Amino acid sequence: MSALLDVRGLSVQFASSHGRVQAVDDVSLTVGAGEIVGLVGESGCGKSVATMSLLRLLPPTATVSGEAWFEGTNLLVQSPRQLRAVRGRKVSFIFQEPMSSLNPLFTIGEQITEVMRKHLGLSRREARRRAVNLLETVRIADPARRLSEYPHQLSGGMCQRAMIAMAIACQPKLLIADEPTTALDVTIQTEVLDLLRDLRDELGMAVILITHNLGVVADIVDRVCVMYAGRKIEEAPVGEIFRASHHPYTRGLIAAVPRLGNRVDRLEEIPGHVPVMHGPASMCSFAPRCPRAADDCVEYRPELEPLERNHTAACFHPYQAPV
Amino acid sequence: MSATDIAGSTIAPEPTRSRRLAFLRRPVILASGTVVAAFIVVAALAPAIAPYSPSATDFTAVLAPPSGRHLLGTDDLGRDVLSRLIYGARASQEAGVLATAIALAVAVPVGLVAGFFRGRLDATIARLIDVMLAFPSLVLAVALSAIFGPSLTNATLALGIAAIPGLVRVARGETLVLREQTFVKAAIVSATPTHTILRRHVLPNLASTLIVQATVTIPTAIIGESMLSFLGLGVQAPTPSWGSMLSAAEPYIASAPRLILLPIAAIFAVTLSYNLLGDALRDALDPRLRL
Amino acid sequence: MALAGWILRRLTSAVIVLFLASLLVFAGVHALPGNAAYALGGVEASPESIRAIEQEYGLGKPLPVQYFRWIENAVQGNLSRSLENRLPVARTIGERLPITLELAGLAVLFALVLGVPAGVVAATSRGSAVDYVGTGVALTALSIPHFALGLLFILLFAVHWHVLPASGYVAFSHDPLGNLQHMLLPALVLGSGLWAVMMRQLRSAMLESLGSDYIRTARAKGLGVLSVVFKHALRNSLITVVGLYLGALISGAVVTEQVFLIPGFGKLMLDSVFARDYPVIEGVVLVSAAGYVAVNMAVDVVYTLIDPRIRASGKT
Repeated sequence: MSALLDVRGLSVQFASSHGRVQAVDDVSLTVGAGEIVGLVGESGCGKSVATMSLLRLLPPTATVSGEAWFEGTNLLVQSPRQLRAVRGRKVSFIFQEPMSSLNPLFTIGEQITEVMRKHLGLSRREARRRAVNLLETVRIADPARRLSEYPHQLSGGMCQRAMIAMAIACQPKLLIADEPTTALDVTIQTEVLDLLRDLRDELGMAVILITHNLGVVADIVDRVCVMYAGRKIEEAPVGEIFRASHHPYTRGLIAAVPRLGNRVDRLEEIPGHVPVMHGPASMCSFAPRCPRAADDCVEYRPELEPLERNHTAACFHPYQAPV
Repeated sequence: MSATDIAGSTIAPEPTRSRRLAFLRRPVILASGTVVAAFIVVAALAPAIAPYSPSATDFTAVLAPPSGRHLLGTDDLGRDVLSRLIYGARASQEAGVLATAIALAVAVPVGLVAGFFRGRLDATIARLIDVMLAFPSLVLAVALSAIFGPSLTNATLALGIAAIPGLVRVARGETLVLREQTFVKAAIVSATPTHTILRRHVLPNLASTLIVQATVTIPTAIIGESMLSFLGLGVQAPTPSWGSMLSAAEPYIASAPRLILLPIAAIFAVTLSYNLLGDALRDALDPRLRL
Repeated sequence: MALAGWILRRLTSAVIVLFLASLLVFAGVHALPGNAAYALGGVEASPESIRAIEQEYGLGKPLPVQYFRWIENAVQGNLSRSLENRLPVARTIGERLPITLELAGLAVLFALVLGVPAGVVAATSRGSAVDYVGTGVALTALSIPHFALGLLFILLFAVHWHVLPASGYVAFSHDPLGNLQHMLLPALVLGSGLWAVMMRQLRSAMLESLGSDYIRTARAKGLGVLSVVFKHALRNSLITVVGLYLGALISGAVVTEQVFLIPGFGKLMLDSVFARDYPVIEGVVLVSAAGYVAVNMAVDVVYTLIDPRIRASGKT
């Protein structure tokens, strides 16, 4: 099975007033058709930047290198015009703040039909008809009326659904969801996530779900990639990540999730904070915060090693026993 | 293992004093600062510098071109243009600085009170500002002149009043922000008397913003004064002002264009320098732009 | 019916503002030192002429009565007569106002035509040479007073190159081409101040808009640059440009008309002040206040048309 998306050695650097910032450092990732892949990590670990760089959605101060193979072409060398044919059509995005991600001066209907008319050349009436269907698919009640409403008239959850409708309007092969539920109420979160999974089942669409919330991941994701300071440091099927993760950072993340029924006096946390990288790492960037760090961690940079079938981790002293 | 051990992960250092001072040496600031300083000096020392009295007429040398006796020539009444330009700086200076001072004197307390105490008073003040913000100083000056007769004092007063709403808005905005800062909240919570909080915590932080605003209000007042004097609502003859020199020179625009160009050049140089200085100061002093 | 309530509130505050303004005008004019009648007739005037003047202008009665008579007349369109030339003030205003309105209209047109593209270009080419040049030009325009620019233009176009007239006015109905020729420089001068402000505001509004989430969405949807900039970003930024430039326009009009000797409303205001022609001053200020209020309301209406959020909530 050839992968739908095959990213190899993706690196992203930003030029800023205080020197270079290495946001993404040699990340490789594959997504198969119809897979839901979770991209997990703390804020600032580069997960959003990595996905946005695939379609050249970053500001001009970004330098992107590597390869990203999608449907036989390398996205990273495509011209802006060629990429515009991919965006919204083959690969779609949804973002974290649904209320502000929609233009407040246009109706929902205008914004959804816009993408269909641009990519599929539909007439206004045809696009409108389809838009109603789409709103039904994303489970918005009274879709015809909602079409002529403005974003501020919709709740956060409905806005996100409308965004999803916009994203799937042209039946993309891949949907990249960047923290889609973070700004929503917990009850709505589950609904939106279920919707994403159902859409994957119905449309055969692959999803990259970016989040810092492991609870979200456990729900619907097939496979998990953990990122830290711009590098991918562990990857495994979702069950294994929770059951038997190897990288100390992953264990730290999982331990930090509060569980019902366990009375604790203090929440567990990983001491320290994510560093800002100014160039490719020459050692393990997690070492200063790692309880298992040793001399070789500061001398050399660990690469991803397959520790089991389908389970890789970048660590010189990984945990071996299950959690 | 400290954070700095990680290759390339050091956080950029705080800009030191010397970095900020170096910033001040940039050519833009030097040039504009010099012009502003020169303007202030010239205005202050006018009687000592000017070769002639500004109102000394000489009907034998009317509209004379530049010469050894009159470096910039004479106007339609034989008065030395250079001297009039030098003395004209005084009117601009006076109007500029005085109007700004008046505006600050009223705007800072009002803005402080509004921004710090909030509530109904603040809401009323805010609405007032919105309404008065676009009110032109010219109409005020016209009104004052109509009632009390035209004079430089009235013009300065009008300009000062017109500048108040803008400054109140800035002062109020900054106070609102400062009020939410932790150190102010700490002071409030520890029952420090309000006037002490305002004096020791809020005001000094307000100062840098106010300096920038003042530097930008002065040129507006200078332009305003020249406009009012041009219309006859500012200085009264024979006191020279760059604006009144222009209105006197308009009939001679074809025969003696330098009478038009020189005062305009003076106004432009001074105003532009103040504006550039203000912008540069804002960049240098704005804490958010540091780092 | 939030909209109806909003309109009602607007109208009420408009009326209140007008009322206050008229009071101020009246008080201001009548707070003059000395008996107005003597000021009008001259110190040497005979008692009969003084009485006649008082009768004509209703000066003998108590102030509140005078005020109400004035308002009553004003609402009916009678603004009394000019002291200088005995012509009805309302008629003079009626003749001069359209001229100034034409001037202001042309000026705003120039400012929009020049300012909007300049703002868009500056925002999209941020940090480049074009941006700096544009900002520099705008800064320069703000550092020269209106009238100075007017004089420079006269020097250049009328005196040096002889392409445009230096001053004066020709009615449109008389000679359309001549009218435009005479109005061109003044309108450019008046518009130049507006242009600089508009460009800067539009630039910063566009920059803010271009950095927003919905623009990110638009790009992620695959929309082209034109669509993103003009359809999405610009529309959100235009609100800031539709502002209240009336203050700048009024003062600018007075000065510009003086420089170019155009017999408009602004010049009327100025001349009447110097001539101490009180009925004219009162009339002019009253009409200005009414105009200010009207334009205010119009701008608010435009806001609601552009931004649906205001329509819904019923407040700005």
